[in-house]
Amino acid sequence: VNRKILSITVVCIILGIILAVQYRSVYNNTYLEGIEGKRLEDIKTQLLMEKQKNDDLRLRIEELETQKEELEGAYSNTTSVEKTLKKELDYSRMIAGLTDVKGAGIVVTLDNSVGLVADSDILNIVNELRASGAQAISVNGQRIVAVSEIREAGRYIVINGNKLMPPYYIKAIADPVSLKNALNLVGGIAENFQEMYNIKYSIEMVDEIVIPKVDSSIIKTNYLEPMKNK
Amino acid sequence: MKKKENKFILMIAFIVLGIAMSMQFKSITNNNKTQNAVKHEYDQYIQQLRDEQETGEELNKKISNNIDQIEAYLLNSTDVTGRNTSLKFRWSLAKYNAGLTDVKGPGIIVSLSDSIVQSDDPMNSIIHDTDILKILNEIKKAGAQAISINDNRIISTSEIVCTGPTIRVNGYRYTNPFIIKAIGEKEKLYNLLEESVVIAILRQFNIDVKIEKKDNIEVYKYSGDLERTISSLEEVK
Repeated sequence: VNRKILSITVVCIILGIILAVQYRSVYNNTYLEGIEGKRLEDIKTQLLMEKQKNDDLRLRIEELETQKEELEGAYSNTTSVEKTLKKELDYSRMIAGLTDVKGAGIVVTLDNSVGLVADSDILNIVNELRASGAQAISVNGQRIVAVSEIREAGRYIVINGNKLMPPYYIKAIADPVSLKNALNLVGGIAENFQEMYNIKYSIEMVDEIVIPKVDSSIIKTNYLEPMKNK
Repeated sequence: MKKKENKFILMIAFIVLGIAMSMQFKSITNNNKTQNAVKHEYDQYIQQLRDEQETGEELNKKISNNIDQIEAYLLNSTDVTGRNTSLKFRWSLAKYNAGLTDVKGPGIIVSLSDSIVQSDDPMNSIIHDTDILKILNEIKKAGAQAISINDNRIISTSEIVCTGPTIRVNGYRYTNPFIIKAIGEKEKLYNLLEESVVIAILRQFNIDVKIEKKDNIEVYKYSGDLERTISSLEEVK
């Protein structure tokens, strides 16, 4: 009798193990399928984006080819070359942030009389403004250029190596309505400030804002070397 | 009586065992089938994606060449009166400061790819725009002089926007992995970034972060349309 009980016990144990193994295998398989499915969706989206980007690049090539043809048409005409050079120089200096500029835009005011304004708050606003097309941005008179850092230092913010004291006035030039809408999106930056951080926050649309140039000593190039003939 | 009972129990146990085994067998073959189909589809898309990425690189080269040709044309244009000499010089300098020239120098390369390890919250294992924004800010704090993301130059107006698995920079969308190149004092860049909070947090969430020091990093010029980039600006004289 004991032997029989023993054998049944052994069989049951084996059965149990097999069931457990199967459960595990089925569970693993569904889990893996889930991951593969997700990856596949990601790849499809990536492919779509990549195609869209390449279409944009093709458009840009067309633009440049037209520009090239126009220039070649003006060959040996010193005046028209001079005109193009002047235009290109102006564009380059504006993009570098080396000229005072004006235009329609918005002024965002952040006051930390109640809550503390963090460097990431300003960083996020500046990024949001760029994303909605801002072409020139300054914070308390400091022009934001390609290399401008935004650093928190106690109750101050340091930009371009300059200590800035609250309240912070962030100016941006671009279509005022789209700038304002981008910041005021539901669940966007503005909502966060008011509800979570208790920071006084306001946006004003202005027909003409003046944004000063950057102190040219901010733009350092001593580690850069121009690349010739890639 | 007892013998019969035992046999009955054994029989039931074996029936259950048999059903379980056949179920498992079926499940495994089924899974293999669907997995193969999924894998095949997946491989096809991966191939298409690679082709498209290669095309993108070629297109970028073409854009860069076109810009170079236009600039060379302007710089080498006949200038009998010498009127344009100082213009040409000032233009080259302004382009340099604006990020409109290809440059090289010492610095760091930061590579970021989404976590392969599945986390409970999928939002934790992917890279967000704010992460890259913070990394860029750390790099700027360390005095970087030229920066690019996936070879797109960061200029004064460059945005970093996250949409799904992609990041938009200068109007173009890029997919994981994200490669950030920065030229400057490489030790300082490396140390400040390695010690930064943002990198520590990303690593905690199993994001694959690699930071390398290099002596010769190439950062390409901004290749967007300049007129559109500053279309709303008017110079104050």
